[in-house]
Amino acid sequence: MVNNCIRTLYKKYGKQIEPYMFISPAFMILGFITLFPMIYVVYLSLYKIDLINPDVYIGLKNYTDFFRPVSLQTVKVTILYLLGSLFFTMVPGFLLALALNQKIRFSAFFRSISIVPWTITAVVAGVCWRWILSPDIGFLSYYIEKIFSFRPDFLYNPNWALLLIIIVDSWRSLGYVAVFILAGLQGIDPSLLEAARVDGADYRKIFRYIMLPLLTPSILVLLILMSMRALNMVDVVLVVTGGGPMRLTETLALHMYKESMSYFNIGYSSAVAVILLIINLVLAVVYFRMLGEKGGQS
Amino acid sequence: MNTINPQKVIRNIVVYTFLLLFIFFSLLPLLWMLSTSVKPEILTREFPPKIIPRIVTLENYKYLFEGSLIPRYLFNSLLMGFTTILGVLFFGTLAGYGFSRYEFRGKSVLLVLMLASVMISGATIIVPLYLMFLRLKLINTHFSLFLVYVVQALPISTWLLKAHFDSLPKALDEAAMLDGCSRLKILYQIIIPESIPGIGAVSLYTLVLVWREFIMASTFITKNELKTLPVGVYQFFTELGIEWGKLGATVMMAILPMTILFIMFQRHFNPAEISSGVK
Repeated sequence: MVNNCIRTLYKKYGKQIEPYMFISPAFMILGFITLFPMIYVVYLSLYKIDLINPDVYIGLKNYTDFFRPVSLQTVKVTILYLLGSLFFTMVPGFLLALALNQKIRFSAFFRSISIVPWTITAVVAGVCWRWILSPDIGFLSYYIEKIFSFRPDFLYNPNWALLLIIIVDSWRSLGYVAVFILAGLQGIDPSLLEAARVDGADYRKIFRYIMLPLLTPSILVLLILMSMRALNMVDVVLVVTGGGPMRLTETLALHMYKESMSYFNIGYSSAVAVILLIINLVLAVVYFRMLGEKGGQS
Repeated sequence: MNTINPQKVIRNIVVYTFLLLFIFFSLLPLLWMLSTSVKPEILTREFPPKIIPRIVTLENYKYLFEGSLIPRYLFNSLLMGFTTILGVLFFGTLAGYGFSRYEFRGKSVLLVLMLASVMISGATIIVPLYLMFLRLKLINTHFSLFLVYVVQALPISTWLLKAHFDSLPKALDEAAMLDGCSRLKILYQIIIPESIPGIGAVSLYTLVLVWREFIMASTFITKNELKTLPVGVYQFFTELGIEWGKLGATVMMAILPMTILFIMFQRHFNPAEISSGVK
């Protein structure tokens, strides 16, 4: 009887439910690990939480706490880090892509080597660079001093420390950026370039009037992706400087992490997380708009 | 007509110089680590530093395998990698098939939502996840990491798999259905065996993602014997940061397996595809 009932129900609605049965396991786990925590973090940001006593609702206090010099400092650091990281990955990455796109020997070898740092964990990258650029025992520091007769203090000077974070970051993602752009370059119809060459255009002109306009959409998409990556980067900053010296290289994401994991200010840390969440949301909307336009064009 | 074009020569010189400089920049830290890892401990602090070791020894590697937890960390990382791949393939092939073979209400929105949810959540979910796992008693279990890693790799894997399934003709499914095959049987016996390159790309991408992940692993796992390799290296650095030779050997252990694997298979890897899932 029940069996029959299910069978008739399935006959009636089965065709409509079927696709959802295929995709629902993925969405269940996705909802549990991303959607639910995102809602939960908004809740947490409105409470005072110490994990022993019950949570106390305190309205927007955690958010007003953000307007302290310590927190505002992290905004400044984040912007500097973001700009530096974008500049030092996108510009050399773009040049590298152009170089890899030339007809050269060993291009497969160069391409392989360039992507290797991308597979390396932030810890290893951080440890390696911290060591070779360490002011007193660093192997590279020694040669920098020999050549420029001055030794940058990457550990105790906040500006140099921030630069060290950017170096490590771009060391890891340069090759990724290059291969990403290279894929775009190789997608350009060769007959278009040939036609321009026949018409007497030199490389500079071809680059300026054909390659660059065709690449712009994928570069914009990449810019958004790299910005989101930099804004949400905790591990590199944590490993390279830990936010020091004197919390002067603490980015927004690291600030969020340390406030809960080191100082147990869970409510406040969640407020910072919500601010980051809003930035991510805005960037993601822009990203999908661009992706839609890019898809529409091709 | 075999005259040498001076402009071309200059361009080649510029291109090769740039590439060599770049290779130097990419490999220098790793070569330094390699060199230190085979030096006897006393010579690691030699000043001025020498990149070519004067004496080569394997005592650091011997120590790692006999007197440290590194083999354990290595095992944990591999375990996380393979279980995550299985998880991603399970959820990803089902969802990819659903998205590829059916037209249904909300399809395009759900596809975007999938990618967007992981992108938007970014680093902001670490703390709420920690609290959730604390309540569910999942802190210090590999299962917590498994869940997080599967979700991080799932959206792009699903998009990639969907794209691969799209390239197989629908007539394949229809013929099998006429023979009385169920949809699941079609997926596992016809579609998946035909999509091995896609499965491979997804597996490699997932493995790299798990292999390099640090922040979740160090937050959710504090028990020594459960740690993954990046966390192990970090601990080494903070605790025994002065024993450079051993640290160098650990670092080599943490990068060599993945680097070799990646160089072997990197032809199949296209980051543009992997970051947006669009083929």
